[in-house]
Amino acid sequence: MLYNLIKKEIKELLTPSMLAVIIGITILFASMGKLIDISKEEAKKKPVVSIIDNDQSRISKKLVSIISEKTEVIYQGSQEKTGLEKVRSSEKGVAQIIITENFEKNLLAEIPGILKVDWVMRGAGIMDTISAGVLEKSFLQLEKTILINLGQKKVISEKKAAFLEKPMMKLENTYYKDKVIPALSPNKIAQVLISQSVTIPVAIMMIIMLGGSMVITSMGLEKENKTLETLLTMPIKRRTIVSGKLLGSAIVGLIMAGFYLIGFKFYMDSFQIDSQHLELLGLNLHLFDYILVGISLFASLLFGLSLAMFLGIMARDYKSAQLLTYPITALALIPMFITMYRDFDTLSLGLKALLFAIPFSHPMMAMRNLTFDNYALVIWGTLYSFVISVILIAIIVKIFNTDKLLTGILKFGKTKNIS
Amino acid sequence: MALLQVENLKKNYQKKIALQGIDFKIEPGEIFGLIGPNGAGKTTTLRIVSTLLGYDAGIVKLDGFCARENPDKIRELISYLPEDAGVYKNLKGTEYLQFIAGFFERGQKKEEMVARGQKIADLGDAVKEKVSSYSKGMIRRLVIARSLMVEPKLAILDEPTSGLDVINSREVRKIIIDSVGEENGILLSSHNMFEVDSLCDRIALVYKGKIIATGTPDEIKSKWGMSSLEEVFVHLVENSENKTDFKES
Repeated sequence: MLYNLIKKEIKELLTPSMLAVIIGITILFASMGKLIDISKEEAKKKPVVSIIDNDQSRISKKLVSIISEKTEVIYQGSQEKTGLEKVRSSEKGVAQIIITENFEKNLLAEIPGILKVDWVMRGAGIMDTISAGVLEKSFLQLEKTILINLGQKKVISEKKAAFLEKPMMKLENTYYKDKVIPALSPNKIAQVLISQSVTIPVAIMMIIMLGGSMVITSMGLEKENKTLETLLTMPIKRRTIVSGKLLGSAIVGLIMAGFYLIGFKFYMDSFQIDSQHLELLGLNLHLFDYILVGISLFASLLFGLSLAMFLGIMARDYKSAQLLTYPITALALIPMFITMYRDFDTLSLGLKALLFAIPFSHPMMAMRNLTFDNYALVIWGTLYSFVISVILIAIIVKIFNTDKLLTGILKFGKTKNIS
Repeated sequence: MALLQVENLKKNYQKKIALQGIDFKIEPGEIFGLIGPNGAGKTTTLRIVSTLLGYDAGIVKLDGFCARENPDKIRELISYLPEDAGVYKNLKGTEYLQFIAGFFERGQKKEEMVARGQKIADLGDAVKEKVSSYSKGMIRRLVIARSLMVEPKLAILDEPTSGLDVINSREVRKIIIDSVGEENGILLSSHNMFEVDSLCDRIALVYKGKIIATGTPDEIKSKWGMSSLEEVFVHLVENSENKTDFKES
């Protein structure tokens, strides 16, 4: 008896579509694990730097030897311009470190020695700033070395606590794409841009999932309740039915997304540097940028809803509709994770192609790209999303004009047109 | 000219043959019933006439318009009620009638159509409540009302009393009879032989995608000398190999 019941339950629950979903989720988690492995490997690699020692003192030479130990030095000389160019042109270049003149002299006078760091930032994703983080850690060791060396000479008085805490002062500039951001390291910039790296991709993923789920569920319910059959016999064009469904869901999806974003903004505000700070750094967005982000989001949502409707066509009822939301979730999760970890520019060609091909990626990347004036990628990405959506909608309207909508059989070949 | 003309209608679902050549006509003012067991091809026929499905061969003409060439025109002339049709649960009865009326009329005419729907549904104050609170009988009355309030040339009703109790079935049948005028007609399907006997002017017995007999209920009964359609149907099915001989000339 029990065996019979268990057998029935398994047969009912473990359908081919459910298996496909499980395999899809497994692949997704495996890919995420791979990303984390890559970031671990990245952390082990030596940062690529240029070193310029303008002091040529005993302590500065000691510092150069420590830096050389901890990093891969691609240039060591006296030409700042050449050093910076070498770092910028190197694929893995992280920074140019300049030990300024009178470094040791200042230290001996219990004045912090000045270290100039010109960072080269490749991207604002979590993984893009790993190397910079590794180098920043090395600077702590430099400070320790300075203190040990000065301690050996016994020139430090105990009263100079502030100096002991900070024997070295860093003057930082970060070169990121065509911008020079003063007084911040890549890690700090990444913290400032956390809303663009984390909040936006998560919010957009939620919008896509909510909107997609609504359309698929609606299609499943319409089929189950046979309200779809009623609609299809009304004296209106099939494309009007498709448009009505898509636009209705888009409006509800955007309203839901609005509420979600408001809540999430309050949460994230507690972690962020305020907008005035962004403005000072030249990292703020203007009205035109926000309009572009909005258009990009709309194009992406339109694609998401069209895809949901396409999948919903295959739903027989409410239950089967629920399963069909998983492909959309997976498609939204992939760009969410990639854009969180990496900037588009720092990806391999294959991943770039994958990211560009998934329309959900574009609004996830839009704010960050617009912050750094990368308008071309945003505009092309939005246009691509619109084109793909229009193609998908045309296919849906075609299916709405055939038997397939009611029979649920999608055979890609000759279809029988009924209108 | 016949209101609906169906000739040699054939339909396959991939490899499965659904209709093998269906022929019938409906004249204005007539209630025509397709009767037969589940899977006989009744719903497929109704869906083809409603332009929901295409067909492989044959002729389907309503008021002179071909279903394949003028599906939009056909949709202006028909009203289709699927078997076990549901309603949007978040709408009130009146809102649902207004939603459907919005596809056909605007302004005052739309309001008149909704009023007509309310009268047909005869749900009293319940029509102002959400459909989610309705019983199965009430939902059926509402969907039949929305089918008939638009005054279609041809109302296509798939198992109109399916799942209803005796009282509700009787009331629905009365609504259907009352809705037929001189210029419009009704095509319905049922596997309830008593229902079609009392409701339809003419019927067609459908079995395995073919019509095995057609005529008025009395004609069919007297032709085979049996007292009920049920007996005739069972007799014909048992002898279905010679089905063409049973058809009305």
